Amino acid sequence: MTALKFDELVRTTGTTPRQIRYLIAEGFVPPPSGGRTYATYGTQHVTAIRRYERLRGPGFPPAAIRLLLDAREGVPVAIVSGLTLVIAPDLIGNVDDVSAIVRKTAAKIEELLTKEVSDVR
Amino acid sequence: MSANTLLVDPLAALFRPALSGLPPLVLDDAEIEVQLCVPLAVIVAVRRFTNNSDRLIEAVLTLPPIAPDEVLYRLLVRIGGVDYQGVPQSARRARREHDVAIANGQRAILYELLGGRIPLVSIAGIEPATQVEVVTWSVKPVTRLAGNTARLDIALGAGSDASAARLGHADAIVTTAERHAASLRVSAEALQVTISGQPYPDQILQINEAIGVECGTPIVLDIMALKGRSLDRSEWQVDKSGGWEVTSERSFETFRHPTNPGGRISSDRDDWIYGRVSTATGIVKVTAPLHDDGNWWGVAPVAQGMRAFAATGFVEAATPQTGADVLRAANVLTRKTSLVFIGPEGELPDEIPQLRKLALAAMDVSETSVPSLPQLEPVPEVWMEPPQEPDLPVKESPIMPGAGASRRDWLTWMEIPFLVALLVTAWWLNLPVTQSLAVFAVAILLVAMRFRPARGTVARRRSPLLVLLALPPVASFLGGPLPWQMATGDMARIADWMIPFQLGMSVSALLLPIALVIALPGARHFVLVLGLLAVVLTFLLAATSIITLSPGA
Repeated sequence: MTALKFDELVRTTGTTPRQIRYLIAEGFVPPPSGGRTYATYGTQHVTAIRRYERLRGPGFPPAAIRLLLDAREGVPVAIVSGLTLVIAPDLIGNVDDVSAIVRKTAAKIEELLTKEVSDVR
Repeated sequence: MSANTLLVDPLAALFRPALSGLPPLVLDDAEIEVQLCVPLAVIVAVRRFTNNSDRLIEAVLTLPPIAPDEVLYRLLVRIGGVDYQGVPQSARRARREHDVAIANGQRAILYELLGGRIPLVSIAGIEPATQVEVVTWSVKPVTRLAGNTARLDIALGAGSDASAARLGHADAIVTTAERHAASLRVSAEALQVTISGQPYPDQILQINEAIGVECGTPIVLDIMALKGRSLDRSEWQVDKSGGWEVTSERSFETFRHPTNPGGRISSDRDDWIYGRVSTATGIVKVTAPLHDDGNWWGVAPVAQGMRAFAATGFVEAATPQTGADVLRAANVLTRKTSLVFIGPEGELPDEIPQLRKLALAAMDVSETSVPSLPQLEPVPEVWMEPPQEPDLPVKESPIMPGAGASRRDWLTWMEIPFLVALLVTAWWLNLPVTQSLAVFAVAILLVAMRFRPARGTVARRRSPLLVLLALPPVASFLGGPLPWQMATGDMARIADWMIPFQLGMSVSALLLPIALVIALPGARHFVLVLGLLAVVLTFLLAATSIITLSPGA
């Protein structure tokens, strides 16, 4: 990704300028390179903003998001009662081919939770 | 797969101590002044805080959702003793200009209403160790109770609110268990006001005297009429003189005492706060009742609030003034209109401000007692990390709004003497006067453009006044010997009045810039540079006239 200006970063991520300033101030997003006059943003900024916004969606407060991103244990996401998906922070908002992961996950869940025994043994 | 994708224990994160982020700023103190004009109450809230970091910051304060029928209509921010007023602008444009100004390192202040209910103040460009005073004005109706009494609720802190919870984290309300000093002052006439809800026994307030209040507890004021008067103002019908009116007629001041409209009166309320009047000619008027018997001295202190309140009742799109026009004219904060101030370029250091949230007192923490105002002590922290005291730099000289780059302030004036010296040299060398003057005028105008006041400022709105600067040179030329001879052909004894007239124009050219500097705050450089051009032109024209009229010239 080429270097982005601030307004291009706003358009790319779909978040508000104030929210981006907040994320930079709080350390969730790295500061721009190039100083005030030539401030530019790159892939790492876009990924960090998307990751934060994905975690904000389910209702995690800033302190919890900080804790989850800092820990290496992964982000637990409740799917249904009794089933929680744990996702590595680096993958959040940063995967191009999600459908392949979805297929594998669905197959694994089906294999683990179904009552019927598979014929293939 | 990177190191961060290695999963160890999904539950381990939940057993770690919370990581400390950037601590929110806390208020130094707050003062509330309530001006009771039943059925309305004008509330002026003053909140002070200090930038205790060593960086330039953008402070963002999100206030609790406003009550139904509450109207916000004015913002004043005092930074280091300098006042900045927010001016109304469309919300989208105001936010865009605010964001651009922050990115450019300018001072930028925005007062907006998120989701139509949640006020947010963003103040960018606060220097280290600077105290900021945020003054907001609002007006809202008191709650009518049985037995000719009324009640007013005021909250300094914030609790949990479902609508506020949906905001982004940059816009969300932040609360703290820390306490700050707070005081309340009530002004009213012929009313008895009792304060309750505080951790001390209910007490009757002394009018116009400050009393300490607990910032984390709702303030409840019970209002009762004295001297045989009544709180019920319904006798002030909208078809009689005695209300504050907004009208669809376009005029210099659209808010005035109503005259007898001779029209149809309608109101969807039973408290006579709004009365809509449609006249036979299609004019729509909305009236807020007066709290007093129509005395101007009683109305004056709250006139702006009443104007704003009446404007919000003006919902009908009458021509030529639409509801949006009326709200904008009354400075009312709405979902579509924000108040904004953008400072000039070069006023602040070349630095991106760091966004800091400003915390309000949490309303869900109960207190057992509230000491009087000076003895208020902060409650020990429950969950927030105390901000570390940084080594603050000593502020040597305050930067005034409208000024250029402060570090090389003297350089901004170097072009002016250089240009004047060039003009004098051209004159000395007998170069063509007209061409020399034209070059000088263009150069001066180019210099002046650098100091042009920013959009949205008071100075920018009043910039048409600068036309006055052209009057002395124009009058000096028209009142000179050549036009006079061409117009009348009579040159007898004109020196008797023309020389004093030319001298008078020269003095006017000197005094006008000084007067305009006062009239256009924040545009000192701009006015003085243009004033210099007017002075030079007037002096040249006056000198030419006087020399021509002098005997033997």
